[in-house]
Amino acid sequence: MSCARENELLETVSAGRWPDGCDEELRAHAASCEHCRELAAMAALFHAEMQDAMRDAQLPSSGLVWWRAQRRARAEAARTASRAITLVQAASVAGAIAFALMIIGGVSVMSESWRTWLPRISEAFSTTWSLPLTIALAVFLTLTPVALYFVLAED
Amino acid sequence: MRIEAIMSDATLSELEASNAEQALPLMDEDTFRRFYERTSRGLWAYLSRMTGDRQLADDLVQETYYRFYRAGASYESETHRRNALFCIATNVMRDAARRRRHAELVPLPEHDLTGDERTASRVEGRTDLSRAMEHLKPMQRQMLWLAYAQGASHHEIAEIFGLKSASIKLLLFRARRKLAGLLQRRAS
Repeated sequence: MSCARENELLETVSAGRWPDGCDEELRAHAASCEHCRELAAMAALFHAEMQDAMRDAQLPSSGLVWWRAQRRARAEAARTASRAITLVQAASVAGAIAFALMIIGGVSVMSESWRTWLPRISEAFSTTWSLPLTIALAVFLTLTPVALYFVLAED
Repeated sequence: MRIEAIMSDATLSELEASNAEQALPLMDEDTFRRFYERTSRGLWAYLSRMTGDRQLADDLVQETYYRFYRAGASYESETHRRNALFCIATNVMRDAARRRRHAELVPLPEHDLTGDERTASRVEGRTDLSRAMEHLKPMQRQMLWLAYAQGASHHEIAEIFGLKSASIKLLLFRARRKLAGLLQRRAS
């Protein structure tokens, strides 16, 4: 399945020195060794095919390939960055919506509870403390903004 | 080690992803261009003969060098760098074959030789060797090409395919025997 001179033979073929440019001794060995004979024939075929293919190659310049790689790398980086920004934006919007829903839910719960205890307070006011408390509340609501104005204006 | 990481399908994707995230300093222009000048013809030959399609080979060359550039790996030697390039090319070819399974890397039956223009350009100039190679499995074709056209050692081929050197010897032997049989049959 293998021969000690296999590598030497393959190097000779890939260097384009087979069969004319190589040692007479290596040629004689290949003639006597079935493995090397088959290997040399196969490698010579591939070598010729490779030379043909390389002659056919019409490649873009290295500068163009470099420029395209750069441009594509930048475009991919931009796409990755914009994907991250979109994710953050989506998370923010989702958070804001969740927060708004929470507030709306909270307000509705509070309004439910107000509906139960506000009438009780008003009942209490109406029976015992109704007039003095109403006056006190009215004075407080009127004077507080005025007092705040003077305090803040002095500052 | 980075060169080892680049040698298999999965790790290559991981490496590319991690490099994209970390924004590693990539290969500089001069190094890239010199490397391209040295290797692009051989790479194109490999891709065109393995796919049987010159236009596809043009696209795959571009894709291979782009992935190579994005990998941004450092290499111990020129041989390692070249092996990494061919490893990427082999993966790129495999990806392309998956995408275009109906058209690529499938043995072309003899009666299909006169088809549309694309098929005509595909088969134009095919030699007995390339015709016979179409009856081999893609991996067998690639191994044979790397060994006998590119002059890659068993160890290098093992690196490219992510296999053990010992198994390459046997796989190459079988592929060579099969190809020899096909060529003999064609000749007779």
